[in-house]
Amino acid sequence: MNKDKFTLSDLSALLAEKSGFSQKISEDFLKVFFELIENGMMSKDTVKIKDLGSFKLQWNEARKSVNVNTGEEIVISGFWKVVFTPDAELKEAVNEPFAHLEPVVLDASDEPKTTKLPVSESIDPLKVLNDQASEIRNILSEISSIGQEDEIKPVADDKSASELISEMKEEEVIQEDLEEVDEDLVDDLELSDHLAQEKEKTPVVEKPLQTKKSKSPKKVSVGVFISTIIGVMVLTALAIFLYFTEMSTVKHEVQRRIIRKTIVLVHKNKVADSTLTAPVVQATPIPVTDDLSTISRNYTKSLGSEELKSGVRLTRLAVKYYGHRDFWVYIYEANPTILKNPDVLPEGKTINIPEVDKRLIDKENRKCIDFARSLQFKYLKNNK
Amino acid sequence: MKQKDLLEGISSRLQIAEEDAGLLVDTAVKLISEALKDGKSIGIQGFGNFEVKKKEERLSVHPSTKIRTLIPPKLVVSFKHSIILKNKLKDLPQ
Repeated sequence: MNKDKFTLSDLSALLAEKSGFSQKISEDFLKVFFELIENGMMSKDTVKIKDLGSFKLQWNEARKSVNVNTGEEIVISGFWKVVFTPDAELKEAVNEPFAHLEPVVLDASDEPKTTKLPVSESIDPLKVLNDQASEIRNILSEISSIGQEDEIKPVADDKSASELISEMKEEEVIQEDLEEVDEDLVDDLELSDHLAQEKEKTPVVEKPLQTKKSKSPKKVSVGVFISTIIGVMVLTALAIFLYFTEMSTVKHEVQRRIIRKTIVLVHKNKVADSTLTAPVVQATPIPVTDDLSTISRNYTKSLGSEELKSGVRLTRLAVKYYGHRDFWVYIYEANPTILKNPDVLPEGKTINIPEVDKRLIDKENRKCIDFARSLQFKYLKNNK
Repeated sequence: MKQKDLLEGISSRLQIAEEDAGLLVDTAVKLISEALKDGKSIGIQGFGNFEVKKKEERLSVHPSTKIRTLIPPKLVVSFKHSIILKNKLKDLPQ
């Protein structure tokens, strides 16, 4: 611990230097300073010091525990504890070495590490293994050279030529396998163990054991190699699958939006169509419109109110309340303050559905519809 | 307890002006912060020690959304009160 580095006297010396006050005053000041903090805390207050932090007392309830030596139950009595919470600036200043790091959300497949200063940590294991691999190769070359020497001696005695040839082949295979060693880390260590054992036994004439051992690492390495390939293939297949499913969900979203937009467009077109037909209608039966225009349109009574959520259309409301969508004009007329533009429905507002004279909203009557449409044309024209 | 009260207390005890007390407090706080920033610990006799501790990085799982987050390592300031203070506190009522 560096506790001896900074004591009260060290602090006071520095304080005297920096503040310009005498050593004595600095020392006294610090003593009083901490005393006052203590007193403040004792009166159950939170002592807050700017840029440093806050000190307060916290009560810990009594709890049951066990005596570690005897094993009998004891009770830890309740006590007061001093709690210090550093200020934000102090926290940041202290955490400077790690300030650049941020929490990282992990995916299911990989686990990226937060960037660390000692990057060499990740390189070292590989380097060590490469060294190991080269060492193993050296050892093997030695083995094979020794093997050739030994071969000459016992040929006459115990071994047949075929056995020796098979041994040679297996050793060659071992060497080939070792070139694949770099791919699998765990396997390397196992291999090295196996081969270390091999190395010990070569000087002695324990050839039959050697042949058995030389088989196992070969099988093990090939087996694990195949499984890693399969694993990689499975992972890539998963990734592609996920990618495509994501794409399909995106497609769905896009499709939905397109459909919605087309519906809106179609709706607008229909409204536009009705307005186009309106002038034609207006030209011929002039007396008809006069009949209906004389009917007063005072919207005193109300059939109900509707909240303007997204997707609400005046035409739909007109269908709901009056039986025909062209009668939306009357709703529009009844809410002049909210509906300034018949195309724009301010979201969240509530509009009043008025009770309209029955003669005006007779959906069977051709004249009613035409009259309503003429009104529509008037309003839509004004807003353009 | 507010900073003002602290300054009043200091000025009355030491017979110095409140302004000076304020200056002293500021410099003292700055010194403590700098020392902690350098990783040094500060020990005040009869009060306690301020230490800088390292928190290792850890994997945390959000309980409802199950999102796994890797929280990076960090350095924090901790304060441990001394035994003398602890004994003083024993006399306090609950």
